[in-house]
Amino acid sequence: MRHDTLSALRLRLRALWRGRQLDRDLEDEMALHVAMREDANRAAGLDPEEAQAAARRGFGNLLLLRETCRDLWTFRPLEHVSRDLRYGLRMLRRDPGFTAVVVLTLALAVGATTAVFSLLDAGLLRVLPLPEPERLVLLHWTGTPENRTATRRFPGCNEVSSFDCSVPYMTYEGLSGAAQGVAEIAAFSEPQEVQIVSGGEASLSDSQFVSGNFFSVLGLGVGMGRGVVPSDDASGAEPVAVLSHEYWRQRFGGDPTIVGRLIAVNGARLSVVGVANEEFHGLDATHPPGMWIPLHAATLLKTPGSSLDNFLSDDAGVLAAIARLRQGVPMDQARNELTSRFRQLLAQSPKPSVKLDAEAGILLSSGARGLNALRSLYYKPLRLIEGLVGMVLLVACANIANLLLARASSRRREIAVRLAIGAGRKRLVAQMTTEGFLISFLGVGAGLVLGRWGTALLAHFLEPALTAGALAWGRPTTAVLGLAIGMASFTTLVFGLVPAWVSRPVDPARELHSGGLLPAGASLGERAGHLGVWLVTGEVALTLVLIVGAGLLVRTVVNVVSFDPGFRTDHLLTLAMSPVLAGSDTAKMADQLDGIRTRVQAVPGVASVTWASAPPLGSGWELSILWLGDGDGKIEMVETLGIGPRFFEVMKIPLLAGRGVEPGDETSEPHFAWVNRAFVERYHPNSDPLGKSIRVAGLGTSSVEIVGVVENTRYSMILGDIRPTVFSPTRSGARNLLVRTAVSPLNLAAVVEHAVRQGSPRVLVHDVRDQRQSVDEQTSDARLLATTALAFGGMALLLAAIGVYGVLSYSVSRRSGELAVRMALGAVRADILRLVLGEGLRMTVLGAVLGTLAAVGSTRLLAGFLFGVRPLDPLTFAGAILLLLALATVAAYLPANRATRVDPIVALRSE
Amino acid sequence: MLRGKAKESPQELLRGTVDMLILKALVRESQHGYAIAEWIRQASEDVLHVEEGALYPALHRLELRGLLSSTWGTSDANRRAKYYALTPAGRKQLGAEADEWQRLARAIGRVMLAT
Repeated sequence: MRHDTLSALRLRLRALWRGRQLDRDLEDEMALHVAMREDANRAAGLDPEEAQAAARRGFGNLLLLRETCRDLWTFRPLEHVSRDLRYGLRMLRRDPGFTAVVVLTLALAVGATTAVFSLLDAGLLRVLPLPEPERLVLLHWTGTPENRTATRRFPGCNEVSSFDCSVPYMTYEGLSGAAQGVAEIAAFSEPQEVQIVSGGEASLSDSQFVSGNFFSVLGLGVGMGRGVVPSDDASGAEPVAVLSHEYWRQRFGGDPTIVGRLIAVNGARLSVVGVANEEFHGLDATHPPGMWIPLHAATLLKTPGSSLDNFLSDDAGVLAAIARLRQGVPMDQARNELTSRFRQLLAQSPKPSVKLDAEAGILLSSGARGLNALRSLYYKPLRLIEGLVGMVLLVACANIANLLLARASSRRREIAVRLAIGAGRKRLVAQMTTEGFLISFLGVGAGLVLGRWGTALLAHFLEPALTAGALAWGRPTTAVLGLAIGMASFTTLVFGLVPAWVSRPVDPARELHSGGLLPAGASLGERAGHLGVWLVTGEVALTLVLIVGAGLLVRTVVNVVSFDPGFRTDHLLTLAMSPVLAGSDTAKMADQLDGIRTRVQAVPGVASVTWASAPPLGSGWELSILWLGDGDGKIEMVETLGIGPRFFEVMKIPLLAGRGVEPGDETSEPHFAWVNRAFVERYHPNSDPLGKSIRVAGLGTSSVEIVGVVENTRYSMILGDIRPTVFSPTRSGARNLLVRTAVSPLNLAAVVEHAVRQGSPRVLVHDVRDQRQSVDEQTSDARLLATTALAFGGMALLLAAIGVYGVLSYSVSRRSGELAVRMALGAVRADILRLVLGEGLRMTVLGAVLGTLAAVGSTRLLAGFLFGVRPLDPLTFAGAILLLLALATVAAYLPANRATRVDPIVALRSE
Repeated sequence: MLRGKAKESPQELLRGTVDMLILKALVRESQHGYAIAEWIRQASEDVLHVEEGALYPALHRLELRGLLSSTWGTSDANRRAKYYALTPAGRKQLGAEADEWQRLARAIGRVMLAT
């Protein structure tokens, strides 16, 4: 039997292969038989005509027999599929408008989904390209809130609620030695800016300082040379650096002879011993390091100001720890062991940086996805966008289902005819599904292409630097493809099943008889009509939620952009400066500041110049400890900023009391300080702050005298709270030149940069920017969300309008008979308009009511992203509702207008 | 086409019989369809007339089952003709069916002769 089937299969495949040959063979074979019979008949004495007729009669239905034989040889299902495909294509071509709308809707929906999903995948879901990443864990320590202030927040660590993952070196060393049985622990710093001089050219890069076992713990391979090894990380060891593949390519042009070269890093000579492999972009994809340097080598680097930390100090935790669990050791066991060892360490330590209290312990979290700084930074915006996409997807699906319903209904006569001439219902469903497959195939394919662009676009909005490095962004992974395929299958099924469900109760006789005149007679039409109205109502509701959200976000952006940060952000050029460290004395730049200032001041178009330790709205500002009272130990955190002469005048920050900063105030040991209004309100609410002395860490060892009070500014962050701030004049901390210009700032950029170099050739200038840029960057999240929400809201609005239009058009075309009767009986244009518009507005208003309720319940999810506008802002709600109603009215007017032009005679005759 | 289970078995029996006759017709030499029909008529002394059209689906079914093989040649009148021949499997099948037929015919004969 098995043999039979196999040989039959072979024969059939051959027949399939030969295609039309089979038809010819069958024809020849049977024709021969008839001809021979005819000959025999003639030989028996019949006249030629009779001989032929008798032969044919004797043989039977030639065509039917040929078909029967043909069917034996062919694969029936396959034949059907190809016939359905051809039929489907023909149907799609016949109705290009329908096809275009559905394909476009699907493409947009799939494109948006895959773009967002690709990003989520890259940022949140993707596992580090390291061997056995599941065995990697990040160490966090727990403690009471007082304990936590002792260490610095490590970006990306705050994923496990608020616990910190930075540890003092001593703690790392002690844990690392004790934990050998369960895990091997490596320590690493945040990537920190360092200055590289190689081949006489100075530039900046980020370097990550790591313990000697960092490469072996991660299992990080190299593309060339070797990685950092434990013997590199010891006092007295020759200082080495391992470059990242990306940095090696960018800075050294992929020079194959790089290994063994000496480079100056912050003035120290390090030899390059290797280049890491290409796949690894660091533990935090948003902040890839250019090189890895052993912790002990960091002590050799010159550290101007406080830009580099002393990693080996016991005071502050500036390192994070990642561990590779030993094979087969579960996380719980490792955690218990590490916790008990951690508490022992604290008990033994002469001056523990963390107090040994009941809560002190170690927590572990998965390190398989790295630090996930991306997650903490963009988690919320991405989740929100994901939500928006989901809603648009729903609207899109509702719309497609709606179009299909209308189409299936308009094809009910076709379906009835086909059922009447004997088509099986199963075959009909299969045929519809094939059509659905075709259209979803087209739509999803186009969507994948759109999705690639969308990913690049989104990544560009989120982190412009990332698209340059390309990283792993936007490559569709199996998950993304799986999602797309899932969506395609889903739509195919919906495509097949919706019309199938609608056409299920088609009774051919009744459908053909009724001729569509009486709605009451057509169960099918009723069913499709009701479903369609509900779908549109849902669509309208979802759309309203979307446009309310978009409206709130747009208002946020308007508020943010027009927001006054307390200083003038226009006509302000900022330059970051650092002294070239190779061999020169770092004190030199401070000496040359006046020269630099004079030269820049002399540039035509420059109004005034000063400096500061941190740029406005940029990174680098610091939190310092303020001792309250007379040394009773109470402390608070305040913001501090080092400033140059006439800082407040240049920045246009109003002086409320006291005097401004004069040249000569910036002594090496500061005597004077300025504070903002928030400081006064908090610490000196009822007394005159002028002349009071305060002690702030970082502003020398003794107290400083408050000589001025200035208005509050949002100097570091536009959207943050205003903190008490202490300004003090500085020279050594001058890292940024602030230039107020009379003309467009960027026009002066090159000239000013040149003037700085002339003022001091040993100063490295980088990051020249127009202050408006920083404003834009700080508001990029808000603008990204607003843009996305606006795009999605617009899309949903369009879809909803199409939905309203579609349902009404369908209804009008179905009811043309009824309308004709009404008109024949004396209804005028206004009656008909009111009838159809009323039907459209009924579902829109119902949808709007439901949507308003849903929006009231859900806009508070946006609260964290809003600025200057409340989640239940009545103006936004009213605007959104009006917009929706207006558009729905337009969408309803078109078919309503068409309805008034129904010619009663034509309509009634056509029945 | 006839439908329903009750009426299916006689048809099956008939088809099986036609199949056996076709196989028998090809024992001596390969033939085309017309010759097979003619041979059956002559060999049965004009008693059995195979429905000519129905012959072909039967032939193709047998070919697909691997009991017959086919080649294209030319007829006496120099026309394109498809010649069928028994395969070894066909020969075996014919043997089995002939035995079965003999058994059945003898059984029917005994029943008819019984008193």
